[in-house]
Amino acid sequence: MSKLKVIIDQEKCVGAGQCVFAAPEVFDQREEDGIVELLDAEPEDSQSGAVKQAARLCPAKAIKVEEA
Amino acid sequence: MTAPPGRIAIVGASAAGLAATQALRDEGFTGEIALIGAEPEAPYDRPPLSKGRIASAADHAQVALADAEELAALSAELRFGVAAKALDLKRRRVILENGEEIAWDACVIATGAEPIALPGGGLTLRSLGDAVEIAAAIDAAEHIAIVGAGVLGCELAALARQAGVAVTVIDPQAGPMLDRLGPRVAGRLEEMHRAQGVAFRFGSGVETISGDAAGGYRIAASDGTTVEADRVFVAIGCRPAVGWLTDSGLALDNGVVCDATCQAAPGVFAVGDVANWYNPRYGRRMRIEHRMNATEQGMAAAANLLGAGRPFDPIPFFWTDQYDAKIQVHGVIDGTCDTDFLMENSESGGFAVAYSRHGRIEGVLGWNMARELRRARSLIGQDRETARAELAQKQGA
Repeated sequence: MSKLKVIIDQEKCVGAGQCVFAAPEVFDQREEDGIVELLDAEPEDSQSGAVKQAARLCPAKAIKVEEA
Repeated sequence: MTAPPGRIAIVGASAAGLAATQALRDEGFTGEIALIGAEPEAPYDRPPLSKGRIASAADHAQVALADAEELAALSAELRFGVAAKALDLKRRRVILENGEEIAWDACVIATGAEPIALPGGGLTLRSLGDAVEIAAAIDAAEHIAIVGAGVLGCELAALARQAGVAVTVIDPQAGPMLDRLGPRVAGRLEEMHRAQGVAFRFGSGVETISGDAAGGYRIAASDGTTVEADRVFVAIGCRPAVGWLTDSGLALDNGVVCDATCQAAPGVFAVGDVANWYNPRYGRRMRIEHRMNATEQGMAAAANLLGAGRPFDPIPFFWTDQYDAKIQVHGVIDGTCDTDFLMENSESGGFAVAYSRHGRIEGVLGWNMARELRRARSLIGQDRETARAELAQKQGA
């Protein structure tokens, strides 16, 4: 089974939280400042649509998705 | 929808135009795409230009919205550095400023907005080139006058103060971002800026700006006072960039008038800052100059262009960074809304506020409350009194 590889850039992140709306099993926000953190850096293929949507929606372009 | 279009022209190569292009490919469109942008640079991100990274933002690579590989993956004809001067709906052509014509079966208008300038001078901020000038002005100045206490004026004030420059902000309103945030939150914002040393001249417009960068500027305010400064920034808002559409026959009224699917005419869509569309969630027309909307609307219009027929009904989102404050807003708010404080953290100084209109919550604002705000977003659309009762119960418990 192919897996995805998710890469986040916490420097670019603006804490909008749109990725958590799109893929709550993969992304969360830090309690103190809302910056993105990964719950799952290599999610299953079934998350592909949600994770790619999160990357597209991110207003800071802080998420990259690679097919591992 | 009949046969899919063979060739799509996207006019405007910033966040919205790029998002539409990427979404067309994501949706499986295999025809031709021409992506046309007035600016010479490949698409780049604008919010960082005024949000604390102004120096590094002057470097295109730091703010590029797509790298070379991602641009190549669009399989689009990239026409950067050439503005469109007209749209011919009958012959279905975009006419470029160099006289060249681009044929299309469907067209996406994404030309954004232009900053409003004042006679007599003052720097405005929209482009990468503008950001370079603003950064140089902050480096060179001892005292900067900023005309306009909206989002951008406040962000620029914060940047200049953080660089140790004296700042005077002039605005006809009684507080910073007052028309957007209302008196309670604008009051907090004013306190923060004053504590950082910003001087405000509220309740006064600008009559004239005279002088130059070499000898200094003199601003005559409408209340009879004057402000002298080494540099002047003008941040009094933007207007939609529709000059090239004047003779197109499209309805223009505070932007390109679109229906709920972002369609302005058969096969013609508008997205981003330039689009005035009907948002069915709020039951009214809106035009939104926010970064998030550029992406979302670009994606939505691309799907609709290919036949999805889905009304675009987002909960808009914007944010602003000033000093250590990150202010985020989900929904549609303005200073005429009723406000209720939802939570307040006495330690961090963070808080969240619900904004209601006609007894219905239309938006929520968080001040250093990013994570909590995401949860509070679910209040949008709820009855204000019900939410207040629930809140009181929770606080009493």
